[in-house]
Amino acid sequence: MGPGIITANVDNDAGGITTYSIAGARTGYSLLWTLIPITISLIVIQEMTARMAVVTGKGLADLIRERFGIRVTFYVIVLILLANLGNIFAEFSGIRASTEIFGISPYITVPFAAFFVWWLVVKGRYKSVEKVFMTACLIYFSYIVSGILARPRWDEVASHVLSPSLSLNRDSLIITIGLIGTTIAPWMQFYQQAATAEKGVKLKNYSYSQIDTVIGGILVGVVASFIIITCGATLHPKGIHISSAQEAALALEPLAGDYCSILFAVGLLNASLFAASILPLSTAYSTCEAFGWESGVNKKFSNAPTFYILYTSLIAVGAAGALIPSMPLIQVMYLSQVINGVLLPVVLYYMLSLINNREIMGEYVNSGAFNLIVWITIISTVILTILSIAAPYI
Amino acid sequence: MNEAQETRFLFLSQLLRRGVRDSEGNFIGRIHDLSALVGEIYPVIHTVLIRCGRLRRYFLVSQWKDVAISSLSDIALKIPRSSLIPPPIPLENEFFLRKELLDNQIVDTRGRKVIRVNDVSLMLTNGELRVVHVDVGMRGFFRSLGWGRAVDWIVRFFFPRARYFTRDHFISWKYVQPVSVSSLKRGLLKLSVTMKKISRLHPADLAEIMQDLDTNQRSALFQSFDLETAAGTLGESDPKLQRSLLETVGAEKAADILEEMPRDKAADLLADLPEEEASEILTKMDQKEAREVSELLSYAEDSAGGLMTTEFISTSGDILVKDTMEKMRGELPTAETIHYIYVIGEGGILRGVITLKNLLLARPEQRIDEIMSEEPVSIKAEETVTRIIELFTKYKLHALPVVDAEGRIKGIVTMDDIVAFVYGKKESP
Repeated sequence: MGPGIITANVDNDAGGITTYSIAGARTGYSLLWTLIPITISLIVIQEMTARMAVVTGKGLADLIRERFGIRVTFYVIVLILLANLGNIFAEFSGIRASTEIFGISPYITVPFAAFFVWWLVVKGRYKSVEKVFMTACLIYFSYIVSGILARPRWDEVASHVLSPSLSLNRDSLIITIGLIGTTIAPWMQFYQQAATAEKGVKLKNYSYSQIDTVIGGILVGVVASFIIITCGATLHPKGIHISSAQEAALALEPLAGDYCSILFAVGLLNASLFAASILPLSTAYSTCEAFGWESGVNKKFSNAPTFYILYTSLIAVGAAGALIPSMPLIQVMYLSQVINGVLLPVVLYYMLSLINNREIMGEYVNSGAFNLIVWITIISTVILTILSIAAPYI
Repeated sequence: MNEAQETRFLFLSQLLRRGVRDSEGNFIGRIHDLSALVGEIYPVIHTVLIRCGRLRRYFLVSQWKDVAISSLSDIALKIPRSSLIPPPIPLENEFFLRKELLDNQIVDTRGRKVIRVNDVSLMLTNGELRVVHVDVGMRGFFRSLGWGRAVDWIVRFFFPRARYFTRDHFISWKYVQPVSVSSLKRGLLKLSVTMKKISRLHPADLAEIMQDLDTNQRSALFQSFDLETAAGTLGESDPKLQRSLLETVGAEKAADILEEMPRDKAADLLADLPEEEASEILTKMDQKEAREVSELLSYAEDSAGGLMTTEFISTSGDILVKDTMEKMRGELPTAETIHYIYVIGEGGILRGVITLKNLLLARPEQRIDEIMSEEPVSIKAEETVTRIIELFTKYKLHALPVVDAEGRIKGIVTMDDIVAFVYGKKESP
């Protein structure tokens, strides 16, 4: 148990919840079905990272550096840094938004959250940090409860899932792009592989990692579905348009009751905090590993200065960005999703090349079906990214 | 031909991706990798691997002696394309610079840490090219990235005397221990280069280096250790690392390694393993040692029994001082402390103790029971750490004999063991 489920939960972060809420409010249940192929592809990709970690004992950044050299690694890592900085900013904006719902000033909560996250990882023990995270995973069930409190018509939900349709209007196209972009993000591959390698899972115990990954993937799909259902059942019929998770939580109050709204906000706070503590750490780790700088929270500052400076500044910049009043959250998130969209096919391509290399993977190379699914994901991401960049001009 | 006499330094990053022409001036392909032969202090470059073809890639190999390198932009072969061969099976002592060294981790045996290689510095003398340094610094990083000159220029513009230029992070090949794992085929992990340079390090440093390696490198390196080095490294590692290291070698070798370790440490280690694995290792161990270790295993971790070791020096009362000294010499190598010699009577009953000082001061012809102090301070195997510390402080001892209910000596606890236990408890949760 561990890396797979944690990755999955970080995946349902502030950006994810925002996208799912908007999807539910704008398109009702009509895009629910897309979560099924997205989840399958997510599970396949994350399983590959776990397998590479167990077989090679290395993180993805290490493998890319060793196999493809410094140039490729450098540009991939720079993009990862940019995309993750955007994500971290989104997390702190999520913290700001969710605490504002409870009427607390962001100038108190955001710096406090930033310090808490920093302190938890730098000063805490790994075991206890992991325990905190695993417990936090339970809070995600608040979304399932709020989904039920919203009293959706389950027969309608079922019929939309069972008869998929994709209307080619601009709105649902952009939302579909957003759904894929927030659900399958490049940092996840780097994080899960590094975390699994760090745990030192043995080949004979590999099936546990697989179960961990599958449960994680399904959890992502389920939580995402319930957020879409919550907003689809309440906001969509009334034609309420929202542009953030915060608006969703506020709009839910008169329609689905206090509890539903509060649960929604608590879920958002938890997700943002959770992701805000993992993302900067994971980013700093992969960067330092790829470039051969010493890294790790068990090292002293003087031994791993780059690691600590990078980690701390990612948090500081993300938190400071979230406090700028006129910072356009949606635009920054859109930009970081575009970077993700450019990066994902590249990362997946390198992953395929690594995992099908017998010198590296021995008998644990990919099966044909897995390769096919990844190729489909690569091609659809490329098409959708081109569309999403072109969308404003159509 | 004064060219051949001159000594020049090149970087691997300057050679990789360079175009290669044959003796007739036809373009063949680009340099993909260089192979070197280990054995001498500075490995000699043996072959050049040339990547050819645009869409369908294939590789050709040329011996380094057939390469004429007059300037960096112009690499020509002395032979026609037709005499190049496809890549042969590598020699036993051959390794590839790009595949196994560049961008990979190495152990810097002087700095005693694990670092990643950014570039490799090569020396060209008399037509021979040798690996002399690896570059682990920022300048090598930018050079390999292809930004070397640009960054040099920028830094020089702002800080003409920057340490960036003078403080090259070169590690001489003498101190470089490559740890790249050459192949995963048939589940066999092998280091691509032998690890002579590393076994001279202190076990505590080795344990720390192990921590920084990935699991495959770790197990390949550990498997290549001799029993003594392996036991030393294991003794200095933390429990989690110990476990993962032991699992890589299999029960048979694990048993051999444990026999090399002090019994109490071996028992502590086995106590941390899953029961099944521990008992498998025990059955593979030498019978006498296995019995002692399993006895140690049966005590609670924080009791005198759990902390004691069975390796102490003992003698009996009726022999002479000079004979005791003779006997000691044989037991010294494995004993945990030489401060005390315990005097044992019938059935292993503890009768007395002699300090090393008293033994040395005594006349050789004296009998042991004439000089020993009777009824020495001892502790029961079940008693706790707190009680041991009390006795240590009260009597200012370095070691305490541990006895069972009948007063038979079972082992000793030393001050070191207690310090390690108390300190270790504070460190890990």
